[in-house]
Amino acid sequence: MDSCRTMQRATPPSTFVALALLAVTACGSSGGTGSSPDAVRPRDGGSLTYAESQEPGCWDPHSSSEDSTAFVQRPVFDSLVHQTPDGALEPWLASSWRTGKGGRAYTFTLRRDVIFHDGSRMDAAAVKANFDHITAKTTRSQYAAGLLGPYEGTTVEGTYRVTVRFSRPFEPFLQAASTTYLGIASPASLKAGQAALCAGTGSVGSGPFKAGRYVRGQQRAYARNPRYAWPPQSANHSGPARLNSLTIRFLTDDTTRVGALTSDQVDAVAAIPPHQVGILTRNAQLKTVSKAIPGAVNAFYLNTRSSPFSDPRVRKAFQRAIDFSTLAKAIFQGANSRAWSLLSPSTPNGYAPAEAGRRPYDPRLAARLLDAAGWTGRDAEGYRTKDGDRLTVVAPVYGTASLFTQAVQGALKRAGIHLDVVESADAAEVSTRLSQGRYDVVQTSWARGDGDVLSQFLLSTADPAYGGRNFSALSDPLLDRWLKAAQTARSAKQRTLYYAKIQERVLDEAVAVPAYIPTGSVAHSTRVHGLRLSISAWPEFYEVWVEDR
Amino acid sequence: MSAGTRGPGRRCSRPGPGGQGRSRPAVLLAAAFLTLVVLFALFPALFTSGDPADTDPVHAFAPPSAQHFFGTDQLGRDVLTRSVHGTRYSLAIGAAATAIAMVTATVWGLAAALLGRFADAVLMRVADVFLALPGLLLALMVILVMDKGALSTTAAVAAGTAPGLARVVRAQALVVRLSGYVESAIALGVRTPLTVLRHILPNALSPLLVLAPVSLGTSISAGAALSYLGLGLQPPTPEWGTMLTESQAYLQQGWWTALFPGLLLVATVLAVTAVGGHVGGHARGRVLS
Repeated sequence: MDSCRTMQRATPPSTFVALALLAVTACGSSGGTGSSPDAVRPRDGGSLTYAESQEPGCWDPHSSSEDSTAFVQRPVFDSLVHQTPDGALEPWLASSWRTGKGGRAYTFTLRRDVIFHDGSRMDAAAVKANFDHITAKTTRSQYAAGLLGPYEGTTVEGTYRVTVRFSRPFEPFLQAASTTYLGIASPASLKAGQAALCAGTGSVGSGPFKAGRYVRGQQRAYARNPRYAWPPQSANHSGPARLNSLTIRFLTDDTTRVGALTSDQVDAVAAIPPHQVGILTRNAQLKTVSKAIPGAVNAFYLNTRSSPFSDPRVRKAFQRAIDFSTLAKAIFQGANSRAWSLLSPSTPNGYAPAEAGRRPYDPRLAARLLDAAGWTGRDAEGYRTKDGDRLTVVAPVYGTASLFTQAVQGALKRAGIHLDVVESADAAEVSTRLSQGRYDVVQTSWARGDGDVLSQFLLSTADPAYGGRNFSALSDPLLDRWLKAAQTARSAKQRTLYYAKIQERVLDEAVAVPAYIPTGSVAHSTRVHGLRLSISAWPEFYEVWVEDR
Repeated sequence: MSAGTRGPGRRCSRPGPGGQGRSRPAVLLAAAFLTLVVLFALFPALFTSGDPADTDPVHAFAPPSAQHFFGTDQLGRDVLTRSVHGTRYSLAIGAAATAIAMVTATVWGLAAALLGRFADAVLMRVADVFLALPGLLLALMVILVMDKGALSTTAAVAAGTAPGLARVVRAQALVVRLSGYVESAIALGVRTPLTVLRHILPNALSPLLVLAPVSLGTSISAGAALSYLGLGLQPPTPEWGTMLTESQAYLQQGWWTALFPGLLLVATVLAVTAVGGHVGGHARGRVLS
C-alpha cells in the first residue's frame, strides 16, 4: 500500500521519466507502420519479448499518472473510443456516441458483444463503475480524474447506453476517453482495492491480452485473449491477437536494453539512446520505427515565484541564452529537432506553427537582459553575480540528468547562469521538492493527442502542491480563461486558435521555454511484423506476429 | 633516552639517501610519473588551459588530435583537460583515506595491545567483523549511512582499510611491549603514557609505514571504483571513476573517452605501488637490521 501511495503521489515517475524516456531517437524510417510489406504470410502463434525502460510504480491506470502504466496496461484494457496513430477518433468499445446539452453530455452506445477476461459482460453499468472508480477519493487519481475536467457524473440510460455529464461543455473528453487512463476494467476487479490494483496483479480488462504473471523488477507476461473480437475499426486485423503470448521486460539501463536486442534476448526495445541509433540502423537484423510524440514538447518551466525567475528579464535571458537548434542537432543527431512552441507539431487541435523561428538564440540579447536585471558581477567560475550572490537556478531531476540537460547546463554556463541540477533516485523526494516549490526550473514533456494537455501545465488551479503540473506557478486570469474557452469551443479550428494564443502569451512572457520535440522509437528484430506505433508513439501488439526462428 | 631506542622508528619513516643507489630504472620512471601526477593535482592549469566543464556538443566524440590530445567526450568536453583536473580528486581521496586509516589503526591497534585482555578481545572481534566483509561492501554500507560525496567516499575507503592496519599495529605493539627497552623504561619508572608515546608508538608504527604506500594505491583505486559505481563523486565532476562510468555507454562511439582516464588511473596506482614498495622495502630492511 505504502509504495503504491508513494508512487501515486509522485509526479516525477511520469514527468521526469518522460524527459529521460522521450529523449529517444529515430532513424530515417517513416512514422506509423514500420514493418515492410510482408512477403511472408502472417501467422498466428509465437511469442514476443519486449524490453521497456521504465517499470510502473502503480499499475492502476485510473490512479497512476505514469506513461509507462498507460503503455503496459494498453494490451489489457480497451477504451470507449480509439485514437488512430494519425489522431482521428473512432469507435471502440462504444459503437457510436453523440453529444447533447450543448456539449455538456456525451451519450455512448456500447457494443453488445464485449466480454471481460473474467467472463463478465461489458455494459453501461460497467462503464459507470469505471468512471465512479476514477473519480472516487480512495483511488487518489493523479491523472485520469484530471482528464475528466468539469466531470459531473455518469448515468446508465439502458443496458448498453450510458451518458457522461459535465458542468460545462468539455471538448477534450473524447480524446481523453481513448487513453488507457480511462480504460474500462471489469467492475468486479475494481473492488479488489487500490493496493491490489496498483500492484498490477488484479488487472482485468477486455483487451486482446490477459494480464499474466508479474515479477516486480523483472517482467510481466501476457496471454492471448481467445475471445477477442472487438478491435477498433482502423486495425488491420480482426479476431484474437496473433501472438500467443507477450512478455514485457523492464531493463532500465540503456546499454543493457539495447544489448539485449542485439544479442537476440528480446525481440524489440523502446527508448533507444540517440548515440545507439546509428549502430542499430546499420544492423541488418534489426528495424527501427519512430514517430514524433504529440502533446507538450520537452520544455523548461520556469518558476515565476522563485527569486531569479520572478524577473521577466532573467526568464527571457534563459530563453535566448540556449542555442536549442544546434544542441538538438548535436545531441540527438537528427532524431529530435528543436521545438519552437509548447505543443508538438503532431498534436491534434493544438500546434502553433506561427511560433517557428521566433525568439531565436541571441546570446548578446541574453547578456543585455541579465545586465539590466542587475546580474553584472562575475565570480571565479565565470557565473554572473548580484550583490555577491551567484545566479543559480535549481533544477530537480528524477534519476540522472540526460545528456541534453547536461549540454543545456554547459550552454547556460557560458551565459553566466548556473543550472544546479539536483538529481535524486527517490521519486518521493523529488515530488516533495516540487510540491513545496523548492525549485526554479522543471524540464519535462507530456504525451497526449490533444492540445488540452496545456491546461495541466498552465491552469492556475493545477498547483504542484496538489499533484498538478503548473510548475511555472502561474496565476494568469487571461490564460485560465483561454484554456477553458479552448475546452469549450466546439470546432477544432477555434480550439487551435485558442491554443495558439495561449502559447504565444506563454512564450512572450518566457514562463516556459520549449526545448525539443520528442520522438518515440522502437527497434525490433526483422522477424517481427505488423508493429505499429500508437498516437503516443508506444508500440501496439494486437496486430504483431513473428516469424518462426 | 638513548638513540638506540628511538632510532628505528624515526629512521624507517624517512629512508635515507643510501636507498637511492639501489633504485632500478622502473622505479625511477614510476617516481617521475608520480611527480607529474602530483603536479597535475596541484597545478592543473599548467598543463591545460581549458575548463573541464566546458561543453561543445557540436564537437562531441572528436578522436584524439593535435587540438584535443585525448579527444573529446559525449558533450564535446576535452578529455585531457578533464583527466588532468580529475587527478586531484583521486589523489586527495586516496591520500586522505590512507591518512585517516593510519591514524585510526594506530589508536585502535595500540588500545587493543595495551588496554588489557578484555579491550583486546572486543577491539579485535570488531576488527574481525570488519575484515569478514569485503572492503567494497563495507564502503557501500558507509556511503548508505552517510551521503554521497567526497567526504563519504574518503570515509568509506578509510573504513575498508583501517581494520587490517589495526591488526598489524596491535601485533607489533605486543612485540614491542615485551622488548628489552620497554621493560627497562618501565623498570626505570617512566610513566606509562610517556612509555607508550616515546617507546612503543614509534616502534609499533614501522610496519604501518611500510604498508602505507601500498595502502595509498589501493585507496586511490577504491575511491575511483566507488565513483564508477555512482556512489562516490557525482558527474559532472571530472573524477577518473566518474569519467569511466560516463563513458561506458559510449565505447562504440569513442574509445578514448574511457581509455585515457582509465590509463591514468592504472598508471598512477602502479606508480604509487612501485615507488611505495621500493621505499617500504628499504624501510623494512632498516627495521629488521
